[in-house]
This record gives sequence, structure tokens and C-alpha cells, in this order.
Amino acid sequence: RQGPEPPLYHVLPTCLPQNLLPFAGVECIVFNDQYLTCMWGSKEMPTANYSLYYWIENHMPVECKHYLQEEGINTGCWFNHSEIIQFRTFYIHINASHEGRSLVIPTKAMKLQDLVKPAPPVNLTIQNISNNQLQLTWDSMYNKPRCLEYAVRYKSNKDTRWTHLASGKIFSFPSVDYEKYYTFYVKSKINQYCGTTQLWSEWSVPVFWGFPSWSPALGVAEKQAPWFWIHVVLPTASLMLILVLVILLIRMERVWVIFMPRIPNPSKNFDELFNIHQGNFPEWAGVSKDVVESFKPNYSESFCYVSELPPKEGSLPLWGGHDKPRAPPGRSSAPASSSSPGLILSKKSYVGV
Amino acid sequence: MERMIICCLFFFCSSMLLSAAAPTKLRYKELVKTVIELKKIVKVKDVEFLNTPEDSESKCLSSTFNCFQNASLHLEPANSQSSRNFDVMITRLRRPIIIDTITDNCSPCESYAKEAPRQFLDSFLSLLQEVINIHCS
Repeated sequence: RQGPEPPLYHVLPTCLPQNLLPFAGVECIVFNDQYLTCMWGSKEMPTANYSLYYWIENHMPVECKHYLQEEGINTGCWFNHSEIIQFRTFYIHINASHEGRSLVIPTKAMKLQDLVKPAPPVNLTIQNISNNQLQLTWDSMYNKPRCLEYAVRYKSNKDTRWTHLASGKIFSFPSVDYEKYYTFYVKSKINQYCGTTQLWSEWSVPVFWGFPSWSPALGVAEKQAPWFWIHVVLPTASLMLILVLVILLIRMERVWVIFMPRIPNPSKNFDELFNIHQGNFPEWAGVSKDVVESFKPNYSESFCYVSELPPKEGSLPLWGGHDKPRAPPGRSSAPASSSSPGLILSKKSYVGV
Repeated sequence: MERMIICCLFFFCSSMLLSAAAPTKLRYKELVKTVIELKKIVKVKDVEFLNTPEDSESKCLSSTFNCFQNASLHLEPANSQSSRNFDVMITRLRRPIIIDTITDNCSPCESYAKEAPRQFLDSFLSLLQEVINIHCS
């Protein structure tokens, strides 16, 4: 039933102990169509003996079989699946007795299909179905999934507030920002076709989307990175480099030469020699005239003629008989008019003799 | 040309068959929406109380449904502005629907206690949810 429930505790006899007063009422929830709990108290509740009876129309009342207790006091009742009867008016009646006196608590009527709280969705999965579109799917633990409606809440690492959206069995996220890191939650509720309730399930376990580098923790690290590079790494590296270079320059002449080449350039130094002194080195060098004079030759020497003796007639040729250059046999006596190389050679040899 | 007509007829018949195959589920859902809407615009003060079936047996769903349909004719709109919309909704509620349950040995509509319009519509909604639970599970 919708609308405010009538107060359970109408009129209290004045003789009842004051600690029985704050009886808040009874609250029943069917968890995922699996079991039902009806709770009527807490630690602040008065100490009394409570008992629960339940029935449906035209049936006899039955006492609760599994009481839930807190510090020895019955504070609730647990019903198994077979005891849950939906689409019938479900009546519960609670008796409270304290020191022999009983408290009248009005019977409560309810429709259990309006009190179903489904289990949170499980196995949340995100698929990237196109460039900027995500598809969030999940499984339901409720045995009648067509009876469920869903709500999705999501937030990116750059958002401060959650965005809540009603959803069908599949949630499509149309425009995803690749620079953000998203967190999604899903919860479910019995829809209007299966019951009249506002009881939502708990939020599911979250599912995340985005690359690990987009996670909030790493995002902070990423933001710190440039500062770290500029203010710590670069100065240190520069100092080290300069230090190493200085050491190298001092220690290694080869490196020093690379940076400070010592190639002589004599053109300036010798300008005077060529322009003013006309290449006169002693003059340019400032050598005294006496020294210059001393270099000049001041002696004379008589000529001595040397001549080579002419060769004697009939002397043996240089070569022996067997060493003579060979001529072709048929031509040895032929006149020396041929231009063959062999003959020229032999002619020369004769000439030479 | 003849082939075109035959094709169109085939398409038409197919779509009719398809829509007839799953009509009740949609019809029930439409009725649920209508009852929820009616609750918002129904007159609640100085109105006639209506026989409201409660906890009827599952075998009597059809009979109970008929009781709600007939009684809904006595509902009134909260104001005259919404009367036209209201009438459309009542007509929609009273449209016949097939619920294949036995109607014998069921309590007559007059035997049920009279309730205020809101309570009446809540019970109607509960009945529709039960029908959906039975027929569509």
C-alpha cells in the first residue's frame, strides 16, 4: 500500500513502563525474492519479550520460526523463500510483554511484492563500441530480470559530482572523453509492472574506464612531472655536464685542443719581411752588417780542368762472343736496312763498339 | 503490379500476426501506466466509494478484472480541465482484454468492501501486476 502507514502504536495505557514507548514500528524487506526480514527494534529498544505472528487472508496466524536477536531480545524475524507470499495481503502482528503486562501493537498489512529489494547488479562490463561511445552491461542476480529497472551513476576524475541516469538493461554512454578516467556504478529496482516500490538495491561494485595513466593517482604524478624535470633534473644534469667538461679540459690536452685549436697564423708576423724588407731576412731579423758581411765569400780559387780520356781503337767490345745479342739465323748476314727491333739493337751494339 | 500487391498483403498479414502474438503483455503494461496516471488526476474528496476486490484467488483474476473495469466507470476527475484526458483513460481501462482464467465460483463484485478511489486504483494496480507476473514470467 502506498501512502503513510497508520501509526502502529495508537494509545498507550499510562500504567505501562515508559521504556516501552519508543516502539518505532516494523519494517519488512524482501531481499531479492530469496528471504524476508521484518525488523522492529534496535539497541535503544525497550527490554520486553516480543513475538511475531503472520498470516494471509483466510489462514491461521503462524508464529515466526527464526527470530533475529540483539542481546537476547527479539528484534526481528527472518522468513525463508517458501514463507514469502506475494500479491496477497500479508499480515503481521507483534506481541510485546513486559513483566506480565502486554502491549497492544496494531496488526500491519502489506503486499510483499511492494517490498522487494533486489541484489545489486554484478559483472559490470564496459565495451568501446565506436570511437566515442561506451556500452555498459551487467548481470542481474534477480530471478525476474524483466521486472527490474536500473539507474547508473558515473563520474570522471575531473568531475566533482555524480551524474545519475535511469537506464534499461544496457547503458550507452554517447560521448566519452579519452583524457578522463571514469567510474560507473549501477543499481536496480523493481519496476512499476511488477510492484510498487521505491526500494533500490545497493550500488554495485564500481567499474572503471580509462587507461591507467589517467587514474587520479597517476594524474597527480603526471602534473608533478614537469615541475620535477624543470626544477630538479635539468639543473642537476647541467651542473654535472659542466663539471665533467671542466675536468676533461684540465686533464686531457686532446680535448682542450678540440675546443681551443692552436693553428699558427704567421701572416701578420711576417708582413714586414715581405713588404718593407723585400724578403731580406737578415735585415728583417736585425742581423748586424758585420755578420752579414762575414757571410759573403771573399776568397778566389784557380780553375782545375778535368777531361775524360777518349776510348782506344780495337779494344774488346763490352760483351763476350757468347753474350752478343742473338739475331735470327737467316738474317745475321743481311744488310742492316731492316727496321726490325732486333736489328736496331744489334746495330746499336756495333755502333757502341 | 499483382506481385507488389501480394507482397504488401503478405507483409501486412505478417505484421498483424506478430503484433497479435504478444499483445497482452503490452496491453497490461499500458493498463499499468494508465492506472498510475489516473491516480494523479482522480477526484478523492466527496466521491463515491467503490467495490474493491482484494486478495481474490488466482483462478478468479478474470472475474476480478471485470469488477475493476465496471467499477472504474464511477471514477471522477479531480478537475474539469483534465476530464477529457480522464475519459480517454477510462475508455482505455474498459477495453476488453482476454484473461484465460475460469470465472465460475468467484465472488461477485458487490461482495467486496468499498474503498476510496485511491485505494481502489492501488488494488487495481496490484491485480495488474499479478496478471503480468503470471502471464509474462
